[in-house]
Amino acid sequence: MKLRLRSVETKETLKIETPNPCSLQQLRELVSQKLPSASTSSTIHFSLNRKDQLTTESSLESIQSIGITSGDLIYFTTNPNGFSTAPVSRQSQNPQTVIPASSKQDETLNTVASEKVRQSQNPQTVIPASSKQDETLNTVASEKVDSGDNSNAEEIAESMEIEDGESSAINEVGKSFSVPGFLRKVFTEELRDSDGLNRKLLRVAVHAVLLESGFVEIDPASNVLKDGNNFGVKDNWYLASVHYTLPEIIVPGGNVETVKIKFQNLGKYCKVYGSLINGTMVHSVLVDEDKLVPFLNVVWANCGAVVATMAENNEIANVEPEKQVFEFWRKIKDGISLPLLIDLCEKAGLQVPPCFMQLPTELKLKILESLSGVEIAKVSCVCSELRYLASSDDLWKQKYIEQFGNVAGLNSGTGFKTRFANSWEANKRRKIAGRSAASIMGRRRNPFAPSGMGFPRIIGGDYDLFPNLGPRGLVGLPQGRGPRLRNVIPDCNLGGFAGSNGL
Amino acid sequence: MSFSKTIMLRNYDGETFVVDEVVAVEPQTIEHMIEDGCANTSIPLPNITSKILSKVIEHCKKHVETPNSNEKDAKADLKSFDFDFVKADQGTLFDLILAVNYLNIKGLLDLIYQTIADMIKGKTPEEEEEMRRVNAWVFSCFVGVTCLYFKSKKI
Repeated sequence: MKLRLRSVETKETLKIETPNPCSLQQLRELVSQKLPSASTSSTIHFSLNRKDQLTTESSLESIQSIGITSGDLIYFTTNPNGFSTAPVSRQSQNPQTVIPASSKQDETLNTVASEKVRQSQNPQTVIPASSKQDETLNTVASEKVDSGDNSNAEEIAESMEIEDGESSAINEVGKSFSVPGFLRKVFTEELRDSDGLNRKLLRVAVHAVLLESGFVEIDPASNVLKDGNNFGVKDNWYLASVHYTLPEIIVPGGNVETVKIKFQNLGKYCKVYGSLINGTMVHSVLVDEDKLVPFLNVVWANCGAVVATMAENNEIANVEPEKQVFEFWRKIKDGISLPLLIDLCEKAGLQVPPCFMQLPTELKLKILESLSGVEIAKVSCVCSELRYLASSDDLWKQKYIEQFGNVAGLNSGTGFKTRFANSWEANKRRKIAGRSAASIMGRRRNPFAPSGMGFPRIIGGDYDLFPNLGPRGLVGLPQGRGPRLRNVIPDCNLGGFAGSNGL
Repeated sequence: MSFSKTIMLRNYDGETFVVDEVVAVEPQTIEHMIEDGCANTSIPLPNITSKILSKVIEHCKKHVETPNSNEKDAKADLKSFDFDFVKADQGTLFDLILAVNYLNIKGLLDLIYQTIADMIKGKTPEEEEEMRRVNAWVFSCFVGVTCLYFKSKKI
């Protein structure tokens, strides 16, 4: 399997092909072969997060057993103390009865929709220190608990080094920004060098949402995963379109299904489009930049912010920004990220992430029960499965009773759906008739309206043929012979030809 | 004060959650397991992730802790908690409903059904107003641009 080895000191990255299974010792030997200075392999130490060292129980045990899989980034150093263990920071504020017995990083991986295929990566996160423990469980509203997104970036955006941002996020006690925490990390990474143009901020924020959902950026031409730091390269990169895909479906050298994201700026609004390449649907989300950017800036300003005191101040001042940022996050996630994920998974044959259609039938039915009759009718137009579900007679009986009161036991032959439809139509007609009657009564002088005095002041229409026709239908019985043709002169004898027999 | 009995819940990540028994019996599935005596070591919940499980436990805790009185405050507080609880993104919501269905927590289940039904129903009036406002702006922008265009063409 392929691994990337990065030196802690020089930041140089080596790409190494290891046999499967491979032991730590073998890895050491491979690394030392590649190193320019011939250091002995026994002095090389590995770590995944530069804090905890990777060890195996026996020297023959493979690194796969501690959770290393293909594509992982591993830090190495020859300095035996090269990695520092993070201090176990602090107790959770309110000792709650819910205490995770082990560290909570695993849950972050599970927020990724395509988690099923990622199981092999889980064990990785068990190794690092327990400093991440307290982040998640607070009595705070669910949005804050929404995915200890923080460590996601490590596994997903393989090229992102976020340790600095991460420690600041971890040190915030209590009401930690979990969604903004993740954003912060991505900002630190991507916007390090530049002075953060507003659009760039937005662009990177969207990038963050996609990363959190499991996408990775890919260069469409070469089908190679892009390293994170390319944002600063081109000046107007944010105008270009960006391609993403899922790590599971990357086949070296093969054709990879990708999704494309584009941005369109309309003054103070920005529209984000996403679509599957060679797909049919385009998903888009409109974002109000003016409103959003100040909050994103706040989040970014919190990058590198240290310690609990900051967090406490933030609690009061920044409750609003957090809400806005979360709204934005949810909007992009639901509007772009999830639909694209579904499209991509369907195309690539992976298991589709959780969505309405994935629910078991009884749950779908229960949800349909909470809707009104009209909405059920709308839902049944969506697809054949939903039409089948929505055609249950019991369901319609319930809706009929809800809408029209008692079932009067009329022609019990017809199903409840048709009965509902008939009653609905009848109601509608009654309403319209009632409305028009009421409006004629109360109408003021309106030149376009018939005076209602008998002589219809119709402008246009067949008033010569239908003199009796008014706004309320035929008034009185039709006089004369009914509809007449215009090009026939009644009782006309055109010079005697009418009666003759030819000649 | 004696400690109330605690129950250990183990999910498929291998993570263990320790909860008070009063909280743990909110989910009917767990209550039945305890009654049947399978809860000696820990209760396995093989198809629920940590994130979802922690959310569920949070909800159960909140409802257990809030006294069952008819006080307006308590009810309003609970209501706002529920309102914020379901403000998650769709992915989480659907994961949540599967978990809650398995665990069989009636109150939470009804809450989520209603939430998803509301999502199907379409936009709330506020959102519609927002849409209209945004579209109006876009339209005016379009008109402005067209005018400029014609002006430049000296038509």
